Amino acid sequence: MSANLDADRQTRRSRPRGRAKLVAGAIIVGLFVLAGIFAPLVAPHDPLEQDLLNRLADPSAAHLIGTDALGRDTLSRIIFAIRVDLRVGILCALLPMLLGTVIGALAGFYGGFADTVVTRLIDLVQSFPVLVFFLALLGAMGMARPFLFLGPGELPVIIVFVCVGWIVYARLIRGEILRVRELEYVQAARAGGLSDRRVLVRHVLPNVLNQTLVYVVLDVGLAILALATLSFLGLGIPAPTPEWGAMVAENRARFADQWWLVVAPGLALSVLGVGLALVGDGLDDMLKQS
Amino acid sequence: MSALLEVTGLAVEIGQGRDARRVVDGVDLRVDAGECLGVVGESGSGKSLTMRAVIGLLPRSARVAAGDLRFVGADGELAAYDAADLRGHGIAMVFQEPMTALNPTRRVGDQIADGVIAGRRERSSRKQAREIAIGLMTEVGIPDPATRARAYPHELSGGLRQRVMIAMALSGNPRLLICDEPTTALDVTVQDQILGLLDRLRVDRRLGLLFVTHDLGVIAQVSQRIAVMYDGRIVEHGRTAEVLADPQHPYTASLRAAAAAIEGDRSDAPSSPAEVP
Repeated sequence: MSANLDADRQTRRSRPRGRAKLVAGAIIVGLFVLAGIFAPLVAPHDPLEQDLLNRLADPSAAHLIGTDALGRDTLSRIIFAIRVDLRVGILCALLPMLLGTVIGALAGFYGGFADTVVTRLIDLVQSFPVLVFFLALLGAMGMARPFLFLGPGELPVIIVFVCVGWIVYARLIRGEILRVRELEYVQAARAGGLSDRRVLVRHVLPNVLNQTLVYVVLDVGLAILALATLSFLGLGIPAPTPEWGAMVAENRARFADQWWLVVAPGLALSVLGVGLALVGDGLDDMLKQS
Repeated sequence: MSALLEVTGLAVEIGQGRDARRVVDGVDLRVDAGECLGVVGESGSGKSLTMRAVIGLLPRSARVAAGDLRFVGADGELAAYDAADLRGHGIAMVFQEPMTALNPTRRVGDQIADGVIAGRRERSSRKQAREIAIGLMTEVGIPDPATRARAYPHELSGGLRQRVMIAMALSGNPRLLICDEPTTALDVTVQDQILGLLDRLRVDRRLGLLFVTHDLGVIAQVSQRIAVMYDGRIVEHGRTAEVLADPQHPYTASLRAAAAAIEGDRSDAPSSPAEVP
């Protein structure tokens, strides 16, 4: 009896949960995106403006999260950092997805030689020391300069992510296509004379892209975390551009006295990460239900 | 008679190298225009793989190891063919289970129209293709085709779904239609209607039918000639009435006896080694 009730309650609760997660996550991420886009309007100060007479100020009405060692307003820096972190995060998820989807689709659908090449390539990339590759790009090739609309230090991070990140998508898509291409209606479409390309676009890819969508959203969060980590280590975004990981690194010596200088950017990173995870999870739940 | 398809010495293997197993061996088939050849055999006898070899849709693990496949060309002569070029407008296929053979996320009219577009040499507009699709739905006996064209597969009954499947197979205007157990998933009255429809199409379009089933009753109803497959080989071949009246091969005889047993006369049922307690 009670077990029955529990089961009943669980099924009832699991229904709206996907949507609730999605909405909650979308609100969080949406707020960050808006704050990033309208950063000059939202931020109370210029993130680069130094006020050396007002260094390491405690939180006050003028500086809600105080100022750092150079007298820059922490809140403004956190808000401007959204631009860098989201831009890099989104590109680091989207570009590998596009590349990986194309490669995985070719390998899965055509099989044979294409499949062998792709599988070997995946093995190769996986056995490659990513950090060494990254340092080579950064140092030897001097790629830390601004590039097109990208700020300093962003290009090498994105290149490394594209080179390594496509694997996940290629694997996912390849596996799904191997499953889907044996489905009877795909066979029926081929029997009806549809060209391979048309079968792929009409019948196979729509089946496969749901899962990819979930991955991309979750990957944005992971990419932002990775960027912050690299910046914390001094390899990502160079000073003075505001970036969360770099801010944590710059201020970590002050943790005992001005803990908010470290906790605030970390908190921003965590909240955005949670928001993205909620969106991804909610999407996953909803796609599974339908 | 004018032959559409001629298969000689077809062998299909599954697996690679030393593990390769020959599951179809030395199969000869011939289908004429306007004729229905029934292929009977139990599950695993290789009849489905033979059909898939003909239309070039073998599963990845299988391949044609030997044999000639020839199809009639524009000049009326038989010639070796590349199945990818013939699918749709030369050879088409009706699958067993229309629920899984139709894409659940697309409207049935669009799926038929896809085949129409694929089967034409000249480019035809989406709108024209839709109209042709509705014409095909009328031809296969779907009532109110304009409305039904906008339905999704799950909104149709099993019989209507199979009619849609047949319309889809006809969309490229093929000369040979492979029917892989097209009525097995249907109930008996609907089955009868679908068999009637296929027979009418055969006569009206001078369509060659390759009809695969394990149901001797069905085969007796639709086919002129019959090929009995057992263990990857054709063990008996001839006019349907003659084969069923006087089976030469012991397998055909036991198949017929088993069918007769199900019909009601259990006296000559083959003894089963494993009795169900």
